[in-house]
Amino acid sequence: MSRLMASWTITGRTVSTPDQPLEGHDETRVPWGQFTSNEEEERRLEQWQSLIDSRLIEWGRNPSVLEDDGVEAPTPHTIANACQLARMMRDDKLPPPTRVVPTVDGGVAFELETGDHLVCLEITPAGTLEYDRYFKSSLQDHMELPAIGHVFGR
Amino acid sequence: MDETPAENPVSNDEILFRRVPETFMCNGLSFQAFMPNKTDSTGISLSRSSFFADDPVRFASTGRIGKKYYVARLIAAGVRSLGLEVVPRPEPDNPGHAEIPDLNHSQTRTIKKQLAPALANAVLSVEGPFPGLRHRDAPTTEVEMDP
Repeated sequence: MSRLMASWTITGRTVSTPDQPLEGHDETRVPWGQFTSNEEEERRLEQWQSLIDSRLIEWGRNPSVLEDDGVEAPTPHTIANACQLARMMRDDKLPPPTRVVPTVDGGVAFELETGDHLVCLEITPAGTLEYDRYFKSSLQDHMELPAIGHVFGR
Repeated sequence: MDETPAENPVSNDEILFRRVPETFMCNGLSFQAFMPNKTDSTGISLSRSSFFADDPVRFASTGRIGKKYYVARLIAAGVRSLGLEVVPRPEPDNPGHAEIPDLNHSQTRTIKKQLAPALANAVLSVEGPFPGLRHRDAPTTEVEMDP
């Protein structure tokens, strides 16, 4: 949050937006948080949409791309659940996952990796949801939820 | 019961290949690549790189035709440092086949989810993607290769 509250001081130039050419010679304090927030929010929404459209919906159209030796493709129902979870997380202002991958038994996993931390939300073929949190690849928490509606208390 | 041919055990300095479907590689390697699937009843499969001339392209070609694969490299000592054994399980069509018996499909989900990320973290490098060349119902290493 401290980053969001910070200012960006531009000495000797006036800035209208970070993307536009610099003009003028005044010292200007740009509310970095606001610009950052807007830009990050746009990027965040784009990333979520790309994940839903380019990955999940595409998998739903052609699940055979996920099949392999011993690997089951998620059913349309599981992919629909994954889309629902993605929309819920997007609407709750959460950052997009680092990756979304199929699981070997026909589920879909959302993995968010930041440094040594990894959080995994997995939609199982049975429609349940598993939460796993790792630190340095070591499992710290494991939780199973009966349905994805329980994730955000809905 | 493990059948470890005493004459050809996996030495600590051996490089092992793991074939990874391209969907498991997305902004980095997902540990799903090391989760045992329903065919891994006696342990997840690895292959000893020396049996493939240490060539990841050749190894990846043992995957299904029309699919692409990454090849993850591990060293046997790295696997063993996790408390996991890696044993040779030669198959008629893949004499370099090996397995990690402690990571098999019948393990509980919690155990699998403890071990698979640790194994993924032990990966030395990942190369690819390379095309699979094996027809769907063919044995694992029966592939079409250029001479």
